[in-house]
Order: sequence, then C-alpha cells, then structure tokens
Amino acid sequence: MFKFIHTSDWQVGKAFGGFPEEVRGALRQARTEMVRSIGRVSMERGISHVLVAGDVYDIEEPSELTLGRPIEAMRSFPAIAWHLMPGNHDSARSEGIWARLVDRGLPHNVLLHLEARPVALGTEAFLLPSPLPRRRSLGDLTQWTEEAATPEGALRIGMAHGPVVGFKGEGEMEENLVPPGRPVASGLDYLAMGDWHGVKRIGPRLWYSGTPESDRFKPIEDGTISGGGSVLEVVIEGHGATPQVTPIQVGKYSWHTLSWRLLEAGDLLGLQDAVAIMGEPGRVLLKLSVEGALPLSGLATFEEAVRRRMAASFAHLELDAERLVPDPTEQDLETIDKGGFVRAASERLKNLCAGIDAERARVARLALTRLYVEARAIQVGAIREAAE
Amino acid sequence: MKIKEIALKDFMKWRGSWRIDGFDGGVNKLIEENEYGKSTVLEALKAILQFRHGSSVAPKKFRPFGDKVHPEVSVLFEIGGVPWRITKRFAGQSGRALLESGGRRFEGDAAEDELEQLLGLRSASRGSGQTGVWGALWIDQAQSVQAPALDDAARETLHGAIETQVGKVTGGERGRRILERVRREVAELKGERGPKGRFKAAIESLEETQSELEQRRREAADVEGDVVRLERVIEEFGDEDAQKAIEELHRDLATAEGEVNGAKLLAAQRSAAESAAECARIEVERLEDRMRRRAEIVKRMEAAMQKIAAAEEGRLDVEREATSCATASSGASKKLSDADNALKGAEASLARSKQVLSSAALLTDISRVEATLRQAEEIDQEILRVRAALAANPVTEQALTKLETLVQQAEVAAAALAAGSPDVEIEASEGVSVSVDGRAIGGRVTVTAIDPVEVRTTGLAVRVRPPASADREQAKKKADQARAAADAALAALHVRSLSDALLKAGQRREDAAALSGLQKQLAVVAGGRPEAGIEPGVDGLRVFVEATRQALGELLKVAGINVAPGMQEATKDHAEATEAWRSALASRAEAAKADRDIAIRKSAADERLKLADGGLAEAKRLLEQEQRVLEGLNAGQSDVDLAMRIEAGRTEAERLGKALAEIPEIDVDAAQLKVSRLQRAFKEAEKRRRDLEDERLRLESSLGVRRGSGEAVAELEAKLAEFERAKRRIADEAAVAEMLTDVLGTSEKEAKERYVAPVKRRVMAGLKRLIPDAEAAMNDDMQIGALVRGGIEEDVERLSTGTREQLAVLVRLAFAEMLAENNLPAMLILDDALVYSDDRRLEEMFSILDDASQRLQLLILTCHGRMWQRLPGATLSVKRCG
Repeated sequence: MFKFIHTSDWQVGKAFGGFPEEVRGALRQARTEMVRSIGRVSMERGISHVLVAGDVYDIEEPSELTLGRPIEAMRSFPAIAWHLMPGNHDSARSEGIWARLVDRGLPHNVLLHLEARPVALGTEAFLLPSPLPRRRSLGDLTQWTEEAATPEGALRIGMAHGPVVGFKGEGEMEENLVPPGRPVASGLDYLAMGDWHGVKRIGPRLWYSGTPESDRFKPIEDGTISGGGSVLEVVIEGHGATPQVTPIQVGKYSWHTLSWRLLEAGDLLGLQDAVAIMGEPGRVLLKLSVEGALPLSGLATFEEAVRRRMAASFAHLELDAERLVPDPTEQDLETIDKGGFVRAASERLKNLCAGIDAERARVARLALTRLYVEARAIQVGAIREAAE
Repeated sequence: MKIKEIALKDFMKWRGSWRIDGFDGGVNKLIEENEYGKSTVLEALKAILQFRHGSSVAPKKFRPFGDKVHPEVSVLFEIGGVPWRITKRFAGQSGRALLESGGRRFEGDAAEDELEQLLGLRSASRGSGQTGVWGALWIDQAQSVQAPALDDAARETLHGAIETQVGKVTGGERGRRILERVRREVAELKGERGPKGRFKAAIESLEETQSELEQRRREAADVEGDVVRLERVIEEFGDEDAQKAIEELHRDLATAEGEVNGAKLLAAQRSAAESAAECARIEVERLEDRMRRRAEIVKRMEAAMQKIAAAEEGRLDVEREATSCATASSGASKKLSDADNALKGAEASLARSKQVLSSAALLTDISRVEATLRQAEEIDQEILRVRAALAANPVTEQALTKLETLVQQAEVAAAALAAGSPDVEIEASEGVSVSVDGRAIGGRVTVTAIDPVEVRTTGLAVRVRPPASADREQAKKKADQARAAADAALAALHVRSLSDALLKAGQRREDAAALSGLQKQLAVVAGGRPEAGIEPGVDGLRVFVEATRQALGELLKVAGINVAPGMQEATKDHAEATEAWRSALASRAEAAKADRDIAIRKSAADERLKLADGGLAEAKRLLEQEQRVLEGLNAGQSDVDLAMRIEAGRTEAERLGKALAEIPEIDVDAAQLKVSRLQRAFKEAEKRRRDLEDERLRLESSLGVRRGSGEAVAELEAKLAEFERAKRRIADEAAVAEMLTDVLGTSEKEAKERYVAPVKRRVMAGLKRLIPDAEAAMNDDMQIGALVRGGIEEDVERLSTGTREQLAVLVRLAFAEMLAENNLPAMLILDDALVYSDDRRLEEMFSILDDASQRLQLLILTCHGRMWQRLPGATLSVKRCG
C-alpha cells in the first residue's frame, strides 16, 4: 500500500486584487499557514509524500519573502518529502522561480521535478511528473509517460497540470491540455492533476485536488460555497488497484456567494438565517447580491443589519445592493418629517427615484434612504435625550 | 397689549414718584424737549421685561445718579381686555415683584414667571441683555435707522407667529441639523474644509498607486526582458555547435598560419636568388660602363688640346688691337682739351652780350613807362580840380529835395493865409499918386491884405486890415514859420532862390559825372601790370620807373659800360656772340665723341684679352682634370683585362637566372589575407563568448537584486483595485451627499421664501406707499436685505438714512401686526424716530402709523411736537405723584 497527499494550486503570493488591504493580508497569510496544515494532516496520517501538482506560486516573479515562506514551512516537516512541480503560473523556464529556489538552496525534503523523467518514491512507486516548461504549451506534456519505463510491479503515479477539457472555440488550440484517458494510455495508477481549483474526480485514477485554500467566489453547482479548501489523501493498495481518494479539509476560509430577494422586512430575517449556516463568520468571505424593494424603514434595517453588522462580523462582505430599491411609505415620509422643508426634500427625492435618468435615480434612492436614516437618527437621539 | 399707565419711582433721572397715564388704545405721544427723560420711560419698560426683581445689576443700572435708593417701576397694561399691573422694585436680593389682575396676585418669582407667560418672554434670556421680541418692536433713540435686532427669543416668538399663519414650512431644527450634517460631509468628502477631502485623497492615492504601478510594471518588464535575455545568453553560451565551430575555426587558423610561413620561406629564397642575379648583372653593366667612359675621356682630351692651340692664336690678335687703341686715345684727349677751352671763351662772350641786351631792354621800358606816367599825372591833376569844385557846391540831390519841400510848404502856407485875407482892389486914376504900403502903384492893382495894407494917396491914407481871428493868426504863424524854414535852407545852400539851387544842383551833377570819367581814365592808364611789377596808380608808375633805373645802373656796372646801347645794336651783338658759342659747342662735342670711341675700343680690346686669357686657362684646367679621371679609370687595368671580367660576369648572371626559375612563385599576400580573416573571425568568436559570459554575469548580478517585481506589480494592482473601489464608494457617498444637500437646500430656500412671506406682505403694504416701484428682498432672518428697483438690487446699507429709517419702522410694524393678529402681546414704541424723512414720506408714514394704530398701541417719544402734530393721538405727560 502506498499513500500520499495530492494537492496543487497553492498559488502562494496571490495578490487578491479588489479586496481591502487587511483582507488581502489575511488571505495571503492563510496560504502560508495552509502548507503547515497540509504538513500536520500528513503527519497525522503517517504520510511521507506530498505531491504538489503545479502552481505552487501564483506569479513568476515573487519576492524573496514570498518565495521562501512555503519552503520554510515545508522545511519544518523534515519527515515529509514535498514533491513540487512547475505549473502554468510558475513554469519551469530557466532563470525563473525554480532556478531562484535552487540558487537559494532547498531543504533535503523539498524535491523539485523540473524534468519529465521517472523519479522513485521510495521502493514501491515511481513518480512521472510532467512539468510545464513554459506558461503555455500546446502539445500533450504527459505523452512521454507512455514510453517511460518503470520497474515491473511498481506504482506509476503521474503528476500533471492543465485542463482535461478544452474551453476554447473551434479552431483554437487548447493550452496545457491533458487527455483524460492518459492514466489508461500510460498505465498510470493515478494521475495527480493541478489547475482546477475545486476538487474534481475525472475518473477513478484521475483527480484534481483543487486548491487547499479557496481563493475565489465560484460556487459549486447549486450551493453557495466555492470549491477548494482541501487536499486529497490517496491510498493505492498496489499496481493496478483502484486508488482510494479522500478529501481532507485544510483551508481556513470558505468563500460563499449568495443572491437574495428582499420585498418585505421579514425577508431580511431569511437572509440572516441563510448566512448563519455558512460557518464561523470570521472565516467566511461572502459575496452577497440583494434585489427587491423595501420601505425606507426596511432599508434602514438592512443597512444596519447587513452593511454594518454583517460586514463587521464576516471576514469579508462584498455587497451588491444596486438592485435593492426604496419603496417609501407614507409612514417613512412621516418619519423623515411631518412637514417643513425636509419633508419637501423627501418628496422631491421620491420623485427623482422614479426618474428616467437611471444613474440619478440610483443616487436619489441612496439619498432618500440616507435622509431617512439621518432623520431617524435625530429622532432616536431626541428620544434618548428626552429619556435621559 | 395696551399700556394704561406707567409709574416710576426713583428711576434713573426720575427722582421721587412719577406717573404717566391717559394712554389711548392707538397713538400715544410724549412730546417733550431734549433731556426731559423720555427715553428713560422706554428704559423703564425694558427694565420690566429684561430684569427680574432680584437682579443685582438692575439697581445700579437704574437708580438715579449718586443716590442709594431702590428704583421701582409699575406698569398697568391690558391683554385681551384683561388689566394687569406689574410692579418691580429693584433692590438686589431684597427686590420685589408683584403682578396683579382682578383678584389674582403673584409675587416674587411667581410674578416673574407669570409675566413671562403673559408677554411671551423667555426666562433663559432674562438678564442677558435680550429683550425678546420686544426689542424687535421698539426703536431706541438714535437707533431708528437700524434694522430690528433679533435675539433667540425674538426669533422664537416670531417663528411661532409665522408658523401659526403659514404652517411649519422650514423643517425646524431637524432640517437644519440634517442639512448641516450633510453639508459637513460633502465638505469632508470634497475637501471644501480642511486641507484635503476624502474624495481627493482617494483620487491621489489612486493616482499615486497607478504611477507606482506603471513604474513597477516597467521594472517588471525590464526584469522579464533580462530574464529572457539571460535565457538566450545561457543557451547560446552552452550551444555545442557554436563551440565546435570555434574550435574548427581555430584549427583552420593554425593551418593557414603554417601555409603562410612556408610561402614566406620560399619567397625569401627567391628573393635571395633574384638579388644575386641582379648583382651579377649590375657588375657586368658597371664594367661595360667603365670601358665606355674611358673611350669618351680620351676623345674629349684630344678635342681640348686642339681648342687650346686655337685660343693662344686668337689672344695674340687681341693684344695687338689693344696696343693700337692706347695710341689713338692719347691724340683724342688733346683735341678734346682744346675744344673745351674754345667753348669757355665763347660762353663768356655770350654772357656779356646778354647783359648788354638786357640793359637796352630796361632802357626801352623806362622810356615807355615814363610816357604813361606823364599822362596819368595830367589826369590826376584834373581829378583834383573837379573834386575841389564838388566840395565847394553844397547842393546835393538830398539837400535840393529838402529845399523843394520846404519851399513848397511855405507856398502852401502863404496861399492858405492869402485865402483868408481880403483882396484889396485899387485902381489909381491917371495922374493920381497912389501908394500901397509905401510903394507907388498905377492903374488897377489887386492887393491881398495879408497884413494891414496901407493905401495912401494925396490927402488920404486908407488902411485895410485883415480880419482878426484865431484861425487866421494860426495860419499866419504857420506861413511865417514855413517861410523862415525855406529861407534858412536857401541860406544854408548859399543860394537866393529855388531856381538858383536847381542851377547849382545841375552843375554839381556834371562835376560828379566828370570825376567818374576821369577816375575811369586813370584806371585805364595807371591800372598797373602785376606781371611787370607795376602797381596800380600814379605812384605805382613812379616807383616802377625809379626801380628800373636803379637796376639799369647796376647792370651797366656789371657789363662794364657807361651807357646802354640801343636795342637794335645790342640785339645784333648778342646774335653774333650766340653763333660763336654754338660753333664752339659743336666742336667740343665732336672731340668728345672721338675720345669716347677710342676709349670704348680700347676697353673692348682689354676685355677680349682678359677673356682669351681666362678661356685658355680653363681649357688647360679641364684637360688636366680629364687626365686625372682617365688615370683613375685605368687603375692599373687594361682594356683587355676589363673585357675578360665582363665576360665572366655575364656567365654568372645567366647561371643565377636559371636557378631562380626553378624556385616556385607563391602568393604570400593571399595566404596572409586568409590568416588575417581567420584571426579576426576567431577573435570575434572569442569576444562573443567573453561578451556572453560578461552579459550572463551582469544579468545574474542585476537580476539578483531585482527579483520579486512581479509580486510587487500584483500587490500594486490589488491596491489599485481597492483604491478604485474606495474611490467609487466615496464618489457614491459624495453624489448622495451632494444630491441631498442640493435637494434640501432647494427645499429650504423655497420654505424660507414662504416663511418670510407674512412679514414681507405687511412690509410691502407700507413700502408701496413710500416707494411705489420698489420691492423688498427679505433675508432668512426676516430683515430687508435689499431693495429691488427696476430689476436692480440695492443693498440696504447703501440706501439713504431716511429710507433705512422708514424700512426699519415698517419691519417692526410688520412684526407687531403679525404678533397682534396671533393674539400675542405687541406694541410699537418709537423713540425719536422718523427724523430723517422728507415731508412726503413723513406724511405717508403718519398715514401708515395711523392705520396701524387701529390695531396696535403706539407710543411715540419725541421732541418734535410740531412734526408729530400731524399724527392724531393722545398726548401724554409725566406727572409727579404725592
């Protein structure tokens, strides 16, 4: 029996553009911690080989610090052999990342597979890596494994990076494409694939491990959560046996995407319930799109409950409320003021909300809600002062 | 509110107890002179409103100067038909307040509180100098042009009254707070306040990040470019084919260099063979040349000896010619000496004949000039005579003209006198002796009686006197003076009459003409001849004659004769002497020519002799020289010896030529070019490898410190995206805040316009009467900010004092009427107001006030009694009590 951890797409050094700085810092930090998590998981399971199927790094020119962080994390698990292979983000171009790593000196347990040749994994298995020599390759880089000789009875474990399905149009060549029938064609017991960030079983011997730390809002099927966040424990009883593949959760953050419709105040409660089951808010990144129409009082509640409280409790909230429009009631307008110019202004804004200038109407909706909130705040303040 | 009575006790200048009563419900006037204490009455009302009875300030402020008493004010007033009396005694902590109405009675603070309720006062404002709306209704002395000052209490009261009428239109405190808050936010976002707004800061952050990102991208691109270059360098450096090519090049170079060395050796052998053959050939040529030169020298020596013999023969002929010339030269010299002596004698004779001829010429000149001198002297004498005649005749043309004028004037004056004198016609009968002024007359005579005329005859004397008159006396005097002047002129010219003068003047003109003619004649005769040394004038002629005579004397002395001959004789002698001189001169020239010819011949013979000697010597020298060369060429060898050596040389040269033909001819230059090309190619290849090595080291070194740029770019791109989101968010916030500000501001403006409408309406009612074409622009604080006339807005501060004063009263009146309409206590007090108004507007103001007095109580405090008589109302007085 031979067992190992299959992982890929660490994407260390990913910048996470568009996120606030503190979120970006936390996400980057998580990618280093993830290596230690994998180490711990491996140790717990008595696994001594971790295969990283490409894209250890997100960029070809990382800083020295970024370059060194995962290496140092791996160094701290000397009993584990970390098998790193270039992917499309960190291809094996000369004088690239891998040359820099070699130059700086690698720990003995970090093994780079920069050439397509069989490497023994102990006594019973051989690794057949197909590193990407450059970012884009048009040929099948795993072709060589068909001819690669390994000792009789030894496990043949392939490692490659790229899609097994093309997404480009007719007549366009797919890059880094790996044929899904490669395990059969090359007599591989298992082909550890990298590139796709969600866990994906293509066949009994061909799996994508996905990234161990999710990094994007891309929900799986009908759910809210994005793929990734785990590594695969692969156990193979012997040459020709079907591998036993088990995903193991190692990621810190879960990424959720949710769309919600709000038409009355009660809908807001449903929304709160829906996000409550996503897990510990501090480890949840939520992309929330809401639409609908609410009275100003409902909008004010929404602002308070979602834009303020939820945003503060979640690791990150990306809120799109452009399609949530105010539907002011007479009570709302009374709340703003019973008379006077403020009331007149609220009537004006209400009219503007229905104007044909979409952008102006959008700003008017926000302004009306804002006016309501301000008026309400003054009211509450006045009540509080009176009570005191 | 209507005041019924005011009582004062020890209040400011009102010492003791005083009362004002008799108030009317409409207009009330307290008309008194200055310093009466009218304004103190207003102060008393203010004291009631402003100060609570326990005020520590009020006693000091209101007590009479120098007294220690406690001021007291009591006002009886009516609100809504209910009478009230408020009495306050200002004595600090022991002050009193009493408010009574019917059976109700409030004391102390209760009285104060009730009073506040009644009059709409606000306790918070009491004692702080604020008078509430009352301050806005009353015009203090010397404050009549000021707009009403609204304190918080006044605003509150007025707003309350307005909102009662137009509803709550402003939004009150809530609206103001929201607007202020949103405006503050806009300012914060847009940077209108403080150093920089958030929006601007976001844009700057964005721009800075963009700028840095571009820089990083460039750096990253540089790094990427260098990485690619390094890949290529390493690939090229490690290219085995390239290395093999260089090694092959090196081998080819070594081969080519060997070929060049072999070629060079053969070329050296060939060169040596060529040199030996050339030496043999040159030796043969040298010997042959020696043979040829020896034959030529012998030939030239034979010719030279022949020339020497001929030269010696020619020299003898020249020597003979020289001797002959020397003999002839001696004779020619003797003849020349004789000719010189003869010429000197002829020259002396010629000189003497010239002197004689000159003396004859001088003598001739003297004779001719002396004749001219005589003629000139005669003319000169005549000139002297005519000049004397002119000097003796004083009747010049000018004097004549003057005399004619004077005579004419005398005649005119006499005629004038005669014209005024009677003519006396006297007819003497035959035989009767009649005399007129003593002169006998006969026949008929007419006498003009200029002076009395006495006509006398026998036994009868008649005197005719001209009429005596001043004019005639004047004419007579004038005639006498003219006559005297004419006579004096005649006497001065030594003539008796004008006709004499005319004769003498004619004589004088003739003399002058004669003088002019003589002077011209003299000028012709004695005009002088500068070329001959004769100056103009008679003296010039005399001087010339004297000088010429002196010169003649000296010439005669030199010539050795006493008398100068005649010109003819002298001319003949001189012609003979001249001929003799010419003959001697020709002889001398002939002798001199013969002497020169002989000398030339002799000199030529001498020269030829010298040349012959020189040529002979040179020919001998050349012969000796050739002799020596010949001896050198021989060098002890005979012609046979030389011929044998020549033959041997020819044989050796032939042998060497054959040996040279056997050595192969190789192009060393071409081989050398190939080597050079291969050397350069090899050097270039080596240099390329060195360059590649250097480039690799440089790139590795450079990249070593620049790696990581990709992550920096990614990080900056992430930051940029964050900043862009922040910018969009802030822009959204700003847009919302701006829209809110805009909408709130517009609504507030409209609300305010509606708000001030009640006040404005009332102000306009009065203003139309004062200034029909004007519109009042009211500001937020219910004040008139400007007047609009013909579309032009005039700031109220720029209006005349009178107009401002009228507007101030109108605004207060509007406030008071609005309050009254809302059943709020209000009355108008004008202390010395409307003093700047013109008659028409004053009339209008009285009408406006009269109209208002139907609804309001008005209290007028003034010292202008006559002016305010035009406003009907109760006239008040201050009465002492007790």
